[in-house]
Formats: sequence, structure tokens, C-alpha cells
Amino acid sequence: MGKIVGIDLGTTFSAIAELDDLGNPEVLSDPENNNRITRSAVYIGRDKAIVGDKAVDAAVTNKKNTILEVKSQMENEVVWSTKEGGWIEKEGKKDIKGYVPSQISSIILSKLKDYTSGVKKAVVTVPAMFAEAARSATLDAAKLAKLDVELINEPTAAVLHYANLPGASVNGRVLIFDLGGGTFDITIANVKGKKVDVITSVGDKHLGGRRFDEEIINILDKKYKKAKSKGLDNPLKDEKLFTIAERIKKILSNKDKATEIIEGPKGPHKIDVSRKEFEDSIDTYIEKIKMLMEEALERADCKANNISQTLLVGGCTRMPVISQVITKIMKKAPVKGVNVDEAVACGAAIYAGLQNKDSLNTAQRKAISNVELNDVCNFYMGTLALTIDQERNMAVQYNDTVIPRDTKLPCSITKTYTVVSDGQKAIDCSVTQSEGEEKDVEFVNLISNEPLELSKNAKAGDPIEVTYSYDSSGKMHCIFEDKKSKKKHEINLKPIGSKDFKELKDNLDFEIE
Amino acid sequence: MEGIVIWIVIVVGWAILKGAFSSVTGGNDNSSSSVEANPFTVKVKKGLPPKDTGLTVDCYNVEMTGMISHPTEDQVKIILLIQDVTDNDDENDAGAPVLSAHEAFAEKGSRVLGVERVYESSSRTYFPDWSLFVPIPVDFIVPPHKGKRRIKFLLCVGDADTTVDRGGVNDTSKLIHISKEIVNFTFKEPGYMDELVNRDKVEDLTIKLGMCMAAADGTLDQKELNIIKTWAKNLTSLLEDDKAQERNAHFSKFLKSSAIAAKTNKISLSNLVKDFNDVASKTQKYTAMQLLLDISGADGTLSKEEDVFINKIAKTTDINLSTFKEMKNKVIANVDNIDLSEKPSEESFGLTEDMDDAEKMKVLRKEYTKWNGQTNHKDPKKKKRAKEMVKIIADLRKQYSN
Repeated sequence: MGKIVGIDLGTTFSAIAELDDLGNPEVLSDPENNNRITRSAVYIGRDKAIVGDKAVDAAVTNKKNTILEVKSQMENEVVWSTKEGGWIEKEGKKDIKGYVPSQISSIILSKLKDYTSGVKKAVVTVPAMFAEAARSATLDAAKLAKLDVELINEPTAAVLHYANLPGASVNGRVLIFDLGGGTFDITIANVKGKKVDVITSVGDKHLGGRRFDEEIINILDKKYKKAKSKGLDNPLKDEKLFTIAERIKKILSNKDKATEIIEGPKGPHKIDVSRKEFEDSIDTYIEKIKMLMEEALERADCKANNISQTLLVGGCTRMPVISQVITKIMKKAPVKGVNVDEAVACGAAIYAGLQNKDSLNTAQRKAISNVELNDVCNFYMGTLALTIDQERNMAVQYNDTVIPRDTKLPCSITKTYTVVSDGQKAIDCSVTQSEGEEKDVEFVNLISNEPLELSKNAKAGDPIEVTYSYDSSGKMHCIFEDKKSKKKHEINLKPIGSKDFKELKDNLDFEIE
Repeated sequence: MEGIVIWIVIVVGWAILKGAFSSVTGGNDNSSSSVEANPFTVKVKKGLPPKDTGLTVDCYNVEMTGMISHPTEDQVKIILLIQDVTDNDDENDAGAPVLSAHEAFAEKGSRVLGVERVYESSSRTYFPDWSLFVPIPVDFIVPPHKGKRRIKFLLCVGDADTTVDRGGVNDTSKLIHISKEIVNFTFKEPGYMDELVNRDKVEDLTIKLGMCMAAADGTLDQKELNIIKTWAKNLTSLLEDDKAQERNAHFSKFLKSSAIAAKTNKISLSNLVKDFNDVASKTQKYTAMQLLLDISGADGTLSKEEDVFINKIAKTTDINLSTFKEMKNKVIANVDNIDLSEKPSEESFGLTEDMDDAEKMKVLRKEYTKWNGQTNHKDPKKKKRAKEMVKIIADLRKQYSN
């Protein structure tokens, strides 16, 4: 039987962990350099792909072949073109040569998998608000890396890790604050011993350390321009500047000022960046963080003083301004108890053990015997129906929620609709997904739409019963039943990956370094 | 809005059950003396209906009491007709039909207000107490004209096969008991007859509003003009040939003259809006707002001037601003560019002067939540717009945040 691991497939850094012989999660290091976290950067060579710091180094000289932040593209239908050196929209274009996000991610997963031997199964983490398309692409990536995989939300994995710390004092209603390199998630959960009940998750898929680095680069560019009367060349495309910005960000987490020599078109220039300048530059992002914290509290129907602890996850939580914001909103300082870069991978390893108890040894089984996780549905799942808009006095198609967001899983909900007109031949069995409770059809994602033929003598008002059943692993089963004829249409929805999986495999014949 | 649909089903169902179970059968067969002792009577009370209906809107609660007996059949039909008798010399005569804003209270296959139910009955069946027949939401009643109206609630008991058509009973010989009550009612919107009479005028005023909208950013773009032309053309497509020809001829001149007037600032917007509000029904106001929104997005950019203009019109037309905002969000999500970022109008996000900072922050957070959810949208254009909107909102909110 192969090993089971947990993988944090991050925007800027990734990590892999497994349960040690005693059942404690252990982060696995890159055997080459002993790094416990690996840069999520991929360099595509002629017959070789490089992952990690070396790939970032390659970006300085060969930008077009180096792919960074692939995670932020997982939901998109794009292709990385090594000819253009960027992501190209696939829509309407045929035969674009290049690599889709799931292929690039699979290279990272393959690299991580090789930190140990015999890995067959994995739990891969995804942001809580990753939509269907992004989850599907992540599953494709795992499949391409020859991993049998399950997904878990990042903050959920993190809280599992916190709850399982030896001698942990995590208890009560907690807020998990996960600010990583590219995404930001907040989860509120009830923790009692090793039992975790998720209440709600909110997030922003475009907020993280990389955006903060961009703001530092903007400061550097402005200061360089002021001193030399000429700005830096295409600064936001210069990976060397990102490395400097990241260094500045880290220094500013401990000091009030950071100084760097910046090479520019008019020669080198020494630039100081103060913590205040940096914090002012990211105030829009900070505002978003505040709004998401307020939203999470509102969704969980609680106030800051109902939260016993705020648990930190992700490298950017080391920034002092983050602690200050949390302290101000939550009225108490956050908990700094774990390695924030590794918490998600460790939690994923615990969940992997939980899902595969049969393959654990006695000590491991004992260690996780009391662990329990109850998750919620992160999206509104609905269907499209017709109604009369009283205000505008017209018939409109609208989105009706069947399973509300934050419903405890597993769940099964039935709603009854009616046939619109006499002699109607069929209905559309549409399944929609949205983050907000949307009525407007334009603002939801249609994830399935198939017809159900009605009986020949269908009459207006005949009932159509719609049942959505959602299990804990993210699988949803939908039944649309014409109660009159007893005809049913069933849809199984699970992020199953691309239908064109064979095509994905075709151009991925790399040696991975 | 579908909430309304759902409760309508519940309430009507409830009303049927309530009526059926609260009627009793009297003790003797002398139906004529029973009828005299317990005449069938209707009463209309305005206010919130009983809590168990689940309704929280003002209704005309139509209640009944007394005999619903039928001398020979074991079923009767109770029919509610509502007529406008304001212009009648004799209020006992049939009045003009009243329309229902919702099909649940309308006669089958028409917009005329009418509710009917079939009850089990005998020669002795009567309601000893006042029983609710049906609550009719006040907002669902559409009389023929605007202003103070006299509305007659006519509740009839007749044979189970009695039929109604356009607010009247087809064969009145089938009726056994009748009772009426007249209420005073003020209708603030133009009635359905006003709508018919004023239709041409409203269309012209809508075109003028459209021209002003198109000129709001200083230029009259051809794409914007095309939207107005197509809108006008569509109006005539359902008309009879003669009328269509007449309107088309009118529009070809009117479009030109109003375009010139808008370009040269010769239209008084305040007078235009006043005239429009006087004659346009709610539905016509929404139709006009949709045209203005279509124009605002026609050139691919929602400019700040257009945004300010359209918000102003929406406010003055007294339409539901939340509905308008939903309509506008569609335009925002679909245009190529929005020009709100430099100094976004607070009004665009529903902020008003009377709000304190905490309220403004709450409103903006709701807006942020709405657009942040859209950053997951499959459509790249909508996703891009959503990302822009969350940045604009966060930028705007931070000034109230410290």
C-alpha cells in the first residue's frame, strides 16, 4: 500500500506533509536543499522542467519559460505560451501551443511527491472559495501527477492542525485567518477537543503576499524615478524585483525601515522603504481584509467577543499591520502558535490519515482516533426558474437557491417547482453555483444544464420536485423529478477533472528537477 | 420576488381550507327562513391579515358570513369580483374591471382581478362567524385611473359551474346570494386606462429621456442613437399596420428633433422628468430605466456623467432603488470599461448623505461581498469587472474606516 500525504499547493510556496510513525504531521523537506517549503515556480525547458527557487532564478534570464502563480489561473481557460511568455485566453482560439494551469500544477505536485517514495494518495488543499472550475483543474493536476486525490479547503486543514497540536489549548469558536502568497481565506469553526465543526468560510482569491510585493515594487519604481528622472523598465514583470520586494517585506515585518540597492536603466540607486510607506501602499488590501472579517462574523452570526481565538496561517500573517488589524477588530491579539507556512500541509496530512485509516499503523490510528471534521457547503447551489417580477410586471428567469451556503454537510434538500404551461415538452435541469445569494441569472455560474422531457399531457402547475444531496467529500447528486409521470433526471456533480484528460497528458513528457 | 409567489400559493390554499372548515350546516331545511336569519354578507377590512396567513403586507381582507346554501346542489362557487364604480351614476350597476398585478388573483387567462372557490354545500350551509375568504394585497389592485377611486367588492354565491369573464358573471341567473361593500381607494400610479391613453406620450417622453442620457457625456454616439431607434422600432412591431405606419412616421421626425434638442441642451430635464412622472406607470418607468441603462452601456463605457445622470433619474421617478441597482449592476458587469474609479460617486453604491460612517461602511461591505463573489464568474469580462469593483469599493470605504 502506498503512502498518503497532504499537500499545500500554494500560490507562491507549496509544502508536503505526512503523518510520522506516531501519527503527528511532519513536513517533508526537499532532499536537494533541505527546504521545507518549495517555491511554486516552474521553468519549462526543452525536455526538462525545473520547480522551486531554481525556476525563479531562471525567470530572471528566461521569463517566457518560467511560470509563477499558476494557482491564480486554475479557474481560467488559459494556456501558458512559451512563445509569448504569458497566459493566453483559449476562448475562440484553436491549436494554441502551450500548457494549461493543471499541467503546470501537476509538475509542482510531481516534484513534491518525489520528496518521499511510494506516494499514491494525497489530500491537496484549495482555497475555500475555489469554484468548480478551479477545483476540477486541481484534480486534473493531481491525476497528471499520478496521485489519487481528495481536496480540502485550506483554512479547514489549518484548523485541523491547530486542534491536533499536542497539548493544544485551541477550544471554542475560533477564527482561522489564512493570508498566503496569493489568496486570503477566513474560516470560523467550533473546536471541541479534536472535533472541528466549520461554520462558514469567506475569502478573496486575489489577495496575498504577491500583491503586497507589487506595491513595494511600485514604491521602488517611484523613488527610482524621482532620483534618476527615469523609471524602472517594466518593473512588475521583473522577477528580480519581486525577490527584492519580498526581502523588503520580510525586513519590514521586524524593522521600521529596509534599504536595497536597485539596479535600473540609469544605474544603481540606494532606496529606503519605511514600514509606514509600505503599510500606506497596501491600505486598500487591508480594507478588503477588514470587510471579509466583518462578513465572516456576520455569516457566523456572532460578534468579535464570541470568538475565543484567532489562529494565524500563511506567511503574510507575520506582517505587524495584520496583527494590528486583527487585534483591533477581534479586540484581542491573534494566536501565534505554529509555523504559519506549514500549518495547511500538516492539516492536510491529518485529513489524509483520517480518510485512509486502514493504511495507518496502530499509533497513527490512535493519534487521530478522536479527530472529527464537519464541513459546510461553501457556495449557494441553485436552479433556474421563472417568476413574475411584480415591480416590472414581467416574467423573468431567476436563480432560486436550493442548498444555501454554510449548510452543514452532508445534506439533502428538496424544493417543488411547477410546470409553466399546458403542453410544455421539457424542463431545463439547471444547476447553478454562486458565492452570494444571487437571484439574477447573469450573476451565477451554470455548472450543469440538461433537459428532462415531460409527459405528453403536462399541465401548468404540475409539480417538479428538485432534490440536491451534498456529501462531505464535495459530491453533489441532483434529482429533477416530474411527479406526474415519475420521470427523473439525475445529475452527479463532483469536480472530476477535465473531459479531455488524454490531451493534457500529451505534451507533459518531462524530467522534473 | 419569488417569495411573493410562494406565499400566494400558501395563502390561497389556506383560505380554501379555512373557508371549508369554518362553515357549518344548519339544523333545519327551511332554507328561506335561514337565509333571512343569516343573510350572506361580505365585509372588507384593510390592514394586515391574520398572522397565520404569513402575510406581512397591507391587504383588503375579504370576510364573509351567513348562508352559502344551495337548494338543489351539493356544491357552490363563491366568486369575488372587484369593480371600479367611481364613474358610475348608480353604484349598483356594474363598474369597470379592476386588474390584478399578480396572476394568482386574476381570472384564468386574463389580468382582470377575480378569485373563485368551490365549497361543499347543502340547503342549510352557512358561516356562523366572520370568515376570511381571501386577503387581497392592496398593491396588487390596479384600477382604470389614477387618483381617488371607489372600489366595489362583490362577493357572489352561485352554482358550481358559474363562470366569470372580464370582471362580470356570464349568467347571473346562476347566482343565489350576493353581497357588496364599497371602499375608497387611492391609486398613485396611472391606471391601466391611463396607461393606454398616455402610451404614445410616455413613449415620446422616454425617447427624450434616452436622448438626454445619450448626450450626458457631452456627445451623442451613433451606437447610443441606434439603441433608441431600435427601441422605438420595436414599439411599433406589435401594432396594427395603420397605427404602426403612423407611429413610425412620427418616430422618424421625433427622433431627429429630440436628438438635436438634446445635443443643443434645449431640453429642460426637470420639466421632462416631471411630465414623465405624471403620466408613466411603474412598468413604463422601469421600461424607460432599462432603455437608459442600455444606452449607458452602448459605447462600451459607463462614464461618470452617465452614472450620475441615470442615478438622478432613478431617484426622481420613485422606482424601487434596489431593483434599479440590480438592473444597473448588469450593465456594470457587461460594459468594457467603467469610469467610476477616480472619484466614484457615493450614490452609485447606495450611500446617502444622511448615513453616518458606520452605516456607509456596512453598505459598502455588502457591495464588496456582492462583487467579490463575482470574481469567481466563468465569464472573463464579468470576472475582470468584479475585480475592478472590489478595488473601487475598498478604496472608497477606507476613508470611513479609521
